[in-house]
Amino acid sequence: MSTVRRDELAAVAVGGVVGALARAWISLTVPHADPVAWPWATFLTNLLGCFVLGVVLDWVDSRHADWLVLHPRRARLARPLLASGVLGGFTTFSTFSVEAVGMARWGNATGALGYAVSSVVLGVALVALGRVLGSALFGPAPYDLEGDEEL
Amino acid sequence: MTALLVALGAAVGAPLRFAVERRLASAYPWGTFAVNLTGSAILGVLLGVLRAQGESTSWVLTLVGVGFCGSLTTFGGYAAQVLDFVAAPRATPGSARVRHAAEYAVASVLACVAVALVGYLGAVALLGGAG
Repeated sequence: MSTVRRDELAAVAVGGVVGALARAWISLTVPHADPVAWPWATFLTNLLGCFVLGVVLDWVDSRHADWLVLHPRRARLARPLLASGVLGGFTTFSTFSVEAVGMARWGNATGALGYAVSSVVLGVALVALGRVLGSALFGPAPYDLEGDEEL
Repeated sequence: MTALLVALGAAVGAPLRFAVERRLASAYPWGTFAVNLTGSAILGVLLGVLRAQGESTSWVLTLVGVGFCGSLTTFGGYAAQVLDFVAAPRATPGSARVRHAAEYAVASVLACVAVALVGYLGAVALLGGAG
């Protein structure tokens, strides 16, 4: 059950590279030079990624049963490529952590707390919003909560 | 050059996250917790080392920090899991589901921020920088 197939890893790698390059491009476009300032690039990247992830998860879930019959390879690789790969690579927790530490360390503890709390609350809300929008667009998905979450 | 370094780091970090999540798959998202913790610690140490050496940027930061750690960790997956706790269709009462979601949400942030801070300060202390 815990086997990892090579084509799944390849799909995650390809998606991860695409997501990471997009994240890096945003961080270069919106530089974060002052450590006490609000880290807009990571903040917006994570929130955008959460919203798109919600839509993508719902789309993949809603199509999974059909794909299993018609496109077994797509059924196996869509989630690793898009969810774990592209959006997993696009969003980041490590930069979020060190930015919160940096803000607090250089005297903006209130900002650090605000950044952490708003990222988490808005991130979860945007995944939910993406899911709801996905359901409206692609039809109700069998929301498989017992399944493995690999993002 | 920057793009190549980011891509190389991500090509290792993202599949490693997937493999760890699959290996540690259970009712609790330990896999994601573990990779987020590990990536935050490595990035904290890396920034501490650079700080101690008086450098603000380096190709290592692009490869390991932006590429590898950025892709080893995930915020989207974490947020989706918090939502899964809330939306769990089990016989769990609503208050317990919200509590589980809040515990996972808060524990991840506190633990990752803590290891990032310890990693940063530890590297600075060991290498004798100004902090």
